[in-house]
Amino acid sequence: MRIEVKRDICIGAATCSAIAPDVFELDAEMKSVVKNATGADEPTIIEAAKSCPTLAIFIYDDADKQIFPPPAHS
Amino acid sequence: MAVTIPREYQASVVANTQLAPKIFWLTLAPTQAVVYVAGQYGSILIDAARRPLSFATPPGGNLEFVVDISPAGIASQYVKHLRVGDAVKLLAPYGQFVVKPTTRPLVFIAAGSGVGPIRAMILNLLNQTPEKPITLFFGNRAPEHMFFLEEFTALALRFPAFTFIPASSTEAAEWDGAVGHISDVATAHHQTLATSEVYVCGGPVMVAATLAMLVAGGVPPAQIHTEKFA
Repeated sequence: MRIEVKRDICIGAATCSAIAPDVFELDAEMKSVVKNATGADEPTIIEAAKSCPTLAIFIYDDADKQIFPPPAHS
Repeated sequence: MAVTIPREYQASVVANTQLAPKIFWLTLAPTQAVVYVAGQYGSILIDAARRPLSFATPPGGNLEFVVDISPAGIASQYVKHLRVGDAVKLLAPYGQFVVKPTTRPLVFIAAGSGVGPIRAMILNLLNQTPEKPITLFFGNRAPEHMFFLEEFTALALRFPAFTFIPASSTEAAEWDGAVGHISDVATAHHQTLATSEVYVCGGPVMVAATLAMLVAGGVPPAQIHTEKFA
């Protein structure tokens, strides 16, 4: 699994680090960063991503396919 | 303040009024009471996107938001076209921009839609501790862009401990109030900032400029609390 926080979208709400504190933390600019992508199980990490007020957290599976936010169907 | 895990709420549009050329005043009736603290915000679900909007009214009852539609982005277009009866979904609460317990006087500095969360804080404070000294500096680019003037002026008359100082960034014949950027107006008018707890909300440039002026003016950084609107 790969986790990416879009810094230009993140507004530092910190709900991700509240839900998955071993995965996310806020840096000196009050932006969320991934400190350990394996710090929680997948459901917890997805819950953390779902809690983001701006959908700044993107999650990709081991084949690098985006699983959250759900990709738009063409 | 501990971070609260947000939950989803359903609401319907009660009113959507244009207060100024670029400001809408949106009122939502939630299907159940939304849990938040004055100063916090919700995240409006707009199709596959989400956009944060600060609550402009203390909790309990309808939800109200001050929305700047000038960015012309997803949220602006969405809010602008909301009609009475439309369904809205939101996640709440978010944010740490809340009034911290203090014995110091409170100073609020807001620009444009940044007054939203500050309005919620002030209304809550006036209801709970009406004798606490509060000053609101509220700036807008020009007189025609101003809003909430009557409301805050009426509150200042009703609550002697509340001082309201509006300002226009530009001079105008019809305006005899303070003129200048609100950060300049606040630091020039208020002599006791260094012993106050200061809350600042507005666009990134305004917040950065105000923060720099406050620190340069001797306000301890720990007494300054900011919220930047994108």
